[in-house]
Amino acid sequence: MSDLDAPTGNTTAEDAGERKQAASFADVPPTPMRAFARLPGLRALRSMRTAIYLLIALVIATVVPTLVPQRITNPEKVAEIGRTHPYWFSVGERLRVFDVFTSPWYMAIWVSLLVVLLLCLLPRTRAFVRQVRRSTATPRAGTLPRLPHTVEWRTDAGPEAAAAQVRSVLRRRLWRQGRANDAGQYVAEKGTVREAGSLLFHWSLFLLLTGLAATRFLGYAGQAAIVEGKEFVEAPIDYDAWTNRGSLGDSVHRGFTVALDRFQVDDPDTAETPDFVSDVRVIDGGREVFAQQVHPNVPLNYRGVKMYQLSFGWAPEVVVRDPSGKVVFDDFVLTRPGGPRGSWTGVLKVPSLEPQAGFRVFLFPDPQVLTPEQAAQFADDDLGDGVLVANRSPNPVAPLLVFEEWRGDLGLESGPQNVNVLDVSAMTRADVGAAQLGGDGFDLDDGLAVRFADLRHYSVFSIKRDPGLVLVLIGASLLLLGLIPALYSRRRRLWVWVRPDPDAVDAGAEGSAAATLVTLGGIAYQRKDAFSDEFTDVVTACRAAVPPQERAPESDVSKP
Amino acid sequence: MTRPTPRSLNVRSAALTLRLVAAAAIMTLSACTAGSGSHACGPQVADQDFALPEFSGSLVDGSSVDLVDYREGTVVLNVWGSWCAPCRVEAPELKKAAEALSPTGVRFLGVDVRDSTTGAAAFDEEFAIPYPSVFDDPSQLAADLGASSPPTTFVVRDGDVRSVIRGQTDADTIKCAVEHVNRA
Repeated sequence: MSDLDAPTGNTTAEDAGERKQAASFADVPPTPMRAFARLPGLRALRSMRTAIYLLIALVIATVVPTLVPQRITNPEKVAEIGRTHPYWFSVGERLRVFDVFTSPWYMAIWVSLLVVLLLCLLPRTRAFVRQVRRSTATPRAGTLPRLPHTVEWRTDAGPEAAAAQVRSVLRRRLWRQGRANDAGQYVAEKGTVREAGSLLFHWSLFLLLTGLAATRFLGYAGQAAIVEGKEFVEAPIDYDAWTNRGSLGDSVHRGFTVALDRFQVDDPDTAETPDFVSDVRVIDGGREVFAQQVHPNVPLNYRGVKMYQLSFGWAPEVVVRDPSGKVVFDDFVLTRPGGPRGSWTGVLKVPSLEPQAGFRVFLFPDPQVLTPEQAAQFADDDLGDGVLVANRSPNPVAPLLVFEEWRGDLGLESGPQNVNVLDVSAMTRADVGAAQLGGDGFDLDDGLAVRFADLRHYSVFSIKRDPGLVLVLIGASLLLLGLIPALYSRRRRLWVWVRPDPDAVDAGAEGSAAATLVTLGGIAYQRKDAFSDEFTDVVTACRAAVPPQERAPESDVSKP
Repeated sequence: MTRPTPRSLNVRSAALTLRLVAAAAIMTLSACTAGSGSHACGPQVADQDFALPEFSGSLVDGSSVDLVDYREGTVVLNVWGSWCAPCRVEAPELKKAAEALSPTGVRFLGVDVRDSTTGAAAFDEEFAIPYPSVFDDPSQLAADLGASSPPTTFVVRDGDVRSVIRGQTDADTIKCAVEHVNRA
């Protein structure tokens, strides 16, 4: 076997030297560290195969919440399963399938995946560094290994001059060249970047997954509606809905206050691209930090928390008095678009009355009075043909609030319920009325009086904290970068042997000039076909720099 | 030199990996469950230890309040809202607990969140709640206390939050938590 074939630590089948090296490495007496590294369990843990199994497990775990309702996004549905399928519900509860993202097993998959990847990458990185260091190490003196490409020629130049010429040719062609041994042999290499790219790819995968884990466990995402003139605290209690509750509890929230001073929306009839803007102030630790306008494309960004303008709506202030004239309800009611006849609908509950009262409200920002004939076509909607209005535009021209009164049991004592839904299963429809903004209000049959006191906008924000975002971005870009060498780079080596011509030394006795023998050998580990041309190129360049002797026929033993 | 063939090595590694991952999962699981469910007063109760947040604001009736006045003795803080269904269910229990414990010097204070003053006042009147409530708008005090949703009840002793009861509770649990804190 070749002595020139220095240990290279590469993984291709041709490289018998690596296998030999691995075998000799195994013969090294075990130090405690090495014994630990060779524990069979650890060997399994640091295999890429395990990482891939875990990645698959993670994907499956991530699919579960799309099939099973989750408590953070759909608590009512989860509660319903609890009522209808108690057995399966208790099984699901034990397996934590209703809150997958906060379950210990989900976290365990993540942690195992990151640990296995790390255990996989560290030895590979070490092996790579060793390989880079050894790939051009000075070989021991001997004959050349058997190589796919070999060319040999004699030249009149002296051995040192010839060696220098070959070196400069290879340097110009960006070969990494090792030092020559006493016999004039050395190794040059190109394309180490391929393995570097592969390593980069896997490290960036690690980075990317770490970022995703950071976002999943330390980050959160939810929505909150703020009425104009009101404030919001960045803490779980003030959120209205969640898309990611985070897994490490509530302490990761920042607790600052956002005050919504004003909300503006362009008139969709006149503006070409209607914009909507929230004027907000950020208050932290009792001090106002800054004021900003939040547009759909300009989020608020403070202490790693981003607030995006998501949507908006109308919040009429409704005042309800009992027959004695005492105020029993005075609050802003969030209404949503999509009600009958272009109205905005909402719900308010007055549980302190006896019997309890609930109202469905229908807001018409720009009401149009209908004739009974026109109203007849709406006879089947929620309002019925007794209400002679429809909405004309979203602009608050002469806002009118129509309300439907229900009396009975709101069902509040029978468990958590959606604040935006009126459960009328134990209630009867009592009366219908309407009130104009700022007007005197409407007296209902049972003595309650309802007043439409004020109309404000509410603004809905999507609030996110994404601590892994930067890691994910860096990871994703490096991932692509690491792929490039795998596509375009190939590893190849050259063996260079420049020495005084042994035949010429013998002939020296006859007085002829000293001659030098130059041998170039080459091998490519990937895309071998393309290497033939490159090898020919290198040889041509070297021969131009170190011209072959003309008198003797040169030996060209280029093997296929 | 004898080395296991790749095939047998793979089978063995897979089995070992499985066992190791399972072990890791069990360890994580047990670590996560060890913290909860062990309190003498019930699974909803957990010990806490942090200073009562600084807060000054107004009560539901409009008068002003400063938590400095609640730094001494034992105080029960109940985070609630008139719109919150479980808060309505537990309200008579809180009243019962307040009436039973106030002779022993324990003070109660409500923390009304995401509410209107009228709704809160109507609630207090409906259930004849004997103690005042902070009108916490926005929910700054509740957030500083670490309450993620109403109802949540805290037991404070000499300015330190010592115990939390998460979710709907009853008079016995509150009494137990107060005794637990006062004994410690």
